[in-house]
Amino acid sequence: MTTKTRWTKNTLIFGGVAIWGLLLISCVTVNRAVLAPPSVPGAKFVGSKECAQCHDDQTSHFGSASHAKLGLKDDKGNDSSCEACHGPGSIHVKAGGGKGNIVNPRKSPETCFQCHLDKRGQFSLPHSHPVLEGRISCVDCHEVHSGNAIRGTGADLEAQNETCTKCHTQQKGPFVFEHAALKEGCISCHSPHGSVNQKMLVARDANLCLRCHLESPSIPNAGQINANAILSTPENHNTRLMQGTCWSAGCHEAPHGSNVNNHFRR
Amino acid sequence: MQAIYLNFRRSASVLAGLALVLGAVGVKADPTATPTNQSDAFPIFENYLTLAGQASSLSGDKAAFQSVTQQPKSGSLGIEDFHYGKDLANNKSLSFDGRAMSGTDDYLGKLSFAKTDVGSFEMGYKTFRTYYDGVGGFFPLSNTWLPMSPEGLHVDRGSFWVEGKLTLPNAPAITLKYTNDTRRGKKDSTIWGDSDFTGLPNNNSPISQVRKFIPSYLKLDERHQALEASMHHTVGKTSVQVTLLEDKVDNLDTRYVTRFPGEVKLFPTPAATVRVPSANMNNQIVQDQVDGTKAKTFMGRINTETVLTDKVKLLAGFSFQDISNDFSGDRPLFTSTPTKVGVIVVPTNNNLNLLGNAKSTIYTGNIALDTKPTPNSSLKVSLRGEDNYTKAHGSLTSVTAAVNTTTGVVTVTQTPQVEYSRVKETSWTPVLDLGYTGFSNVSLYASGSKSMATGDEYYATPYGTPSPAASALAYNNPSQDHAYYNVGANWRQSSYLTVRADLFYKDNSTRSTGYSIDVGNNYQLDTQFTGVKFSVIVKPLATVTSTSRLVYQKGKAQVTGYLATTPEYDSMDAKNYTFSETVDWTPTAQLYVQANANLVFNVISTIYPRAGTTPATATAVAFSTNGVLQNSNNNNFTGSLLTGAVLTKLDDLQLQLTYYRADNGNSQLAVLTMPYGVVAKEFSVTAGLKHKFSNRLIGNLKVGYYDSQNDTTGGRTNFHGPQAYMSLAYAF
Repeated sequence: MTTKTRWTKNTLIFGGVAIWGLLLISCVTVNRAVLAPPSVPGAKFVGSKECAQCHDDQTSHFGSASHAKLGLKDDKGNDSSCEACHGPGSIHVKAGGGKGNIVNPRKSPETCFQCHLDKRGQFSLPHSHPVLEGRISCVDCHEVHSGNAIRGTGADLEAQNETCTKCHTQQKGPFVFEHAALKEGCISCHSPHGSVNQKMLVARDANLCLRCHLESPSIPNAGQINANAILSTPENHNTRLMQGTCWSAGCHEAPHGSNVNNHFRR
Repeated sequence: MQAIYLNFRRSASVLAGLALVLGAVGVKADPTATPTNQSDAFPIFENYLTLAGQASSLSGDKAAFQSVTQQPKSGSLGIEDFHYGKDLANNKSLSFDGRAMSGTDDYLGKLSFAKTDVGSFEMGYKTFRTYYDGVGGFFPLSNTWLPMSPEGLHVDRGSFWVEGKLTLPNAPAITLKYTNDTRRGKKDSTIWGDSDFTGLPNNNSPISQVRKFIPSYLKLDERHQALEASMHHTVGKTSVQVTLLEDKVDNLDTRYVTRFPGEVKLFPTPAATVRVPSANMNNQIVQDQVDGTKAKTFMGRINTETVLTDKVKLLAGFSFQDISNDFSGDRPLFTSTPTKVGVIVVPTNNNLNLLGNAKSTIYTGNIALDTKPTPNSSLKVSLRGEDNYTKAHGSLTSVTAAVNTTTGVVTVTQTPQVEYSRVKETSWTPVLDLGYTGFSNVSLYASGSKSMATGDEYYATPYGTPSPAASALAYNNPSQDHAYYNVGANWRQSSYLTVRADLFYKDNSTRSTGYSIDVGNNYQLDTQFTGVKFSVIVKPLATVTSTSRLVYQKGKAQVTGYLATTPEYDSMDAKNYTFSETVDWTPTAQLYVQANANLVFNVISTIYPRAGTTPATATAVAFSTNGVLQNSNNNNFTGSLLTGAVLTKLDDLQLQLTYYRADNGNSQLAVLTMPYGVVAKEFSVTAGLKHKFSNRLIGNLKVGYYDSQNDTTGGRTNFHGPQAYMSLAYAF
């Protein structure tokens, strides 16, 4: 059924010969640079003050940004300066601005992955927001130039879920019967950067729900799985759980909130 | 002896191959390479047009290919990128960006115009397609897999926007923006339908023979418009930002689900102890759930920042939101029902002509003092308050049907019902942020916040009598506390070593306490999460950077149910370890290597393995309840290798490998439950050549191979094959 990928000795020998030969050719014929992304070949660091000359709207509030917490007393462009994320800016400054001569994290997440390596892995999973494909960018959800990077946290005026519901409007509500889990946040059930599970769920099975809705074993049903924590319906859910997840067809199909059923059944 | 010789020869050959690979890298590994000649580098185009095409020759499941790679099976061709910018007279500039890729339906048109010290104008439209596969689940015991036909699904996301900014000197900066976003198409749903085609007997109560793995899908027709006006101005030492937003959502989504497809019970119904074929265990039900949403949001927001002294700033904000959601819905069900005169399709409706409104009024305010007590320290004290009032009501018709199994006559009964709910909630969130940079090369920070919400809620579930029965009513006082604390440090020991650590603790509690007729109907949930994010950046050589990161989180939850006699119960034990590593190696200016790896151990445990054994009864056999649900394992590994090299004066070479593996499956679970664990392996290799034809023309060719194996679907969604990509970028 499955096809095995085979790494034979021939693969290594011929691959090695090919790479060896190509690099030998390049060694004697060229003398120019190639850099790993994100980078700007030939550029040098100039410091954040240069950036503020034109981008004051971005730099003036950076002190309040989450990333500014990493700033050192004598930061020389390494940890929280503009060029930590946008790359060395000398060519950009010399050209008086422009595209292509400065790293734009909106175009590529590589800048963010330099520190948030784990997010590269999550976005590489089969169920993830299409950041690696370039359809959306990290800054569509995160505020990097001022305030909290995770919007809606701390004392922000906006709510954290607004980051999600600006696109996923159907889940915004309000509903007649709202699932209280939404107050815990969309990330209670979804891993927004990516997951091995469909819909970026943190768990694909009934464990997702039972984390909060695991009833204690009552005397008549001692030792049984029973997911009736919210209202007093003494129905045994063993048979239901054998069949599928809590939100499978015919069951609690409206996990974000329902306009007809307080058990989110439809 | 022959076998030993062959093994030796194979090992020697492999080692020789490895030596060649490493030798090839080693020949360039000279950190003291001569300075580079940037004049030979690939130019950065200012105005350009990039034409590109992509094609693949696949074997296997093409819908899975589309879903995994987000590329169309038929390939794509068109304008990948276009940019034209021009500086005009009198400090004006004009630019146009575009993209038009057929196949991926990826289009962009953007026009921008700006004049220094006056403002800017921008308008554009973009759309792109995302792919899904409607494959549902795979049931290993019977080797059953029933995908949708067609299997490939997609959603097109479009966005039109127009934005104007007025930025006159010493005058308020005004921005006006209109957006119109759409989502249209079909995507898969995890609300899978039932099937008896599992090979399990139907007379083994309480072990169900039903498993839910029939795919379902959503048809989306969504539109979201927003008109936003904002003004920013500084008067004296106070800057003010005022934002007004009018937001409209108009969605009509339909979920298509089929339960027990192809099944209908025998007539007359045999005794429960009789084993019947899978096709006769249940009746097919076709349901189309329609959900309509017409929501309007009006939001007004004001933020101010006042510099009181050079060490103290006062920040304050207030917002008002009015959200009104006119919802509608319909949920018809068509059940194939056996009768003496044949199979009758019986129409019922869980809710017919659902109509109603839910309205939220939200007032939010915050205030903060941001201070710098000393040059090296910062202290910010904030408070957020919110009052949320939501009121909803609706009406619907419940439709039931009775079938005369002798004549096949269906008698439909319609019952009008109404419902309502009301929730009040008030929350307060104090926040403290601290920072210190007094130590050389060290920054320290800490923060703590605690959101405390209390409220009152009552509702009536749909009822048909003049007044709701007590069983339809609920009264409770919900409350929620969310505390979050973290401390962190950034230590740049030297240019060789940087260490960062962030420790956090979250403590949440949710209470729902019944009152009035619901006295004693309580629910309590407490959760605690602790974790650390730890990063180490090492630069042992000027040519090597190693970045390591560990993200660890441990969570626990305790739930206490409605019964007064039920104690607090541990409902969750979750652990996550994520180990990430990136190594950047630039042995010479002409070669770079970047290796990435991400290893995740993630497990969520609820009742397993404590569920024990369900005892036998007079009518049911005993069984191990642990088999109904085991831990949710989400372990995975992803890795990639990227290397680029200068090949000739006019050519760059790039090689890329990606790898993904998850192995969380246990098909043995199928006896008692639906096995969901993901088992998959993906691998890709791509070789690219970038060639400079001239200072105005650059070509890019990539060829690769993709192999995807997915045992979660019994290998039915496997695919493999070569891919090719080519582009030509022309500067003008």
